[in-house]
Amino acid sequence: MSAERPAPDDAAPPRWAEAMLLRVLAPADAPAIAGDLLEHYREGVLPARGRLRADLWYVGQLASLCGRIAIGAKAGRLHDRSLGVALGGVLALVIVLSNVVLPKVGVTFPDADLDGPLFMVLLFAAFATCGFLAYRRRRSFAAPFRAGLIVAFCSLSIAMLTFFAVDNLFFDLVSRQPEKIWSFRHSHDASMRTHINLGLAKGVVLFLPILTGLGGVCGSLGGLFGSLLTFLRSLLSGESRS
Amino acid sequence: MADALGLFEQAVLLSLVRLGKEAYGRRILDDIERRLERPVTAGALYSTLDRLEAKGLVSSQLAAGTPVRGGRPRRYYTLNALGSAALNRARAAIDGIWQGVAVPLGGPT
Repeated sequence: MSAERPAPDDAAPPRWAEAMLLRVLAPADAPAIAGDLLEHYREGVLPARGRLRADLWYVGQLASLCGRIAIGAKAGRLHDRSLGVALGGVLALVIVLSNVVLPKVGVTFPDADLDGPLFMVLLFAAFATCGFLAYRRRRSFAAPFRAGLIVAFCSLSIAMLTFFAVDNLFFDLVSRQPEKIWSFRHSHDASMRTHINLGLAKGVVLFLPILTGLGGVCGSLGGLFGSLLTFLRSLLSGESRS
Repeated sequence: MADALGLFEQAVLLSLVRLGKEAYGRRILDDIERRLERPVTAGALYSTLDRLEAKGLVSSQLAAGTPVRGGRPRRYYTLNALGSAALNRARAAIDGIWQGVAVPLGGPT
């Protein structure tokens, strides 16, 4: 292949294929990969195989990259979902412990602690960590945002379902919580059960979308931290060649 | 690094060793195709490099492009200490499983 005369520097693969390549790749990867393929096309494939077969080669490479990206994205979504379910499991455990198990043994753990500042900081830190991991896996800024959204939605949905189950199955226990008694007295609801279930419905309609969005923001912050770390590491390594 | 390296991952890492400071996408692709004696797709190569980088076995740096690349940058890859250790373990594992076996094996080919 190297014995062939290189193609001129203005020889180019199909314009649509190159445009598509730049579009499907993550912005951080696109220029270098497109450059590699263009260099290989001009210096190796085109002189050896001719225009038609070189163009087919380029389209084949594009297809292989699209296939890998699709597989990677699917794996990434599955991974985010698993993390969301795992975090939801932890939340469900905390909810059951604080609302059922501890009160049964006489330890009070106010329900309000589950939306207290410390708990929320831990929750958002978990979403940011998922964003950080997604950035390390995919090296794009869309992935951490999506990871934060998926993890927040999955985990909070599980938490709300757990609240729904606990509040209805252990109604006698839950209805004795001071903050529930206080909020029921200050409402116009017909019964405590109606009051609790209306509160849960409000949580699903109002807080789930808001917290899911905040999960996306936290994921992005985690991704930003990941990119900053990568940048600092490259600065410290002193291996920059440009 | 508990994960065992696959054959293609080993081929990519060894290519970085061979190419040294010249290890960027196009050169790696050429080198692996020559060694494996089969065409290698860009999708397979870049997803492997991505994975190896995420595992901390390699690191990469961008450098200026050339006219033949339309001025686009090159991403140079370097083997890290973790990558060297993983390659050494992979080699030791191969040697271990072939130990005591006379090569080439007899029988129909």
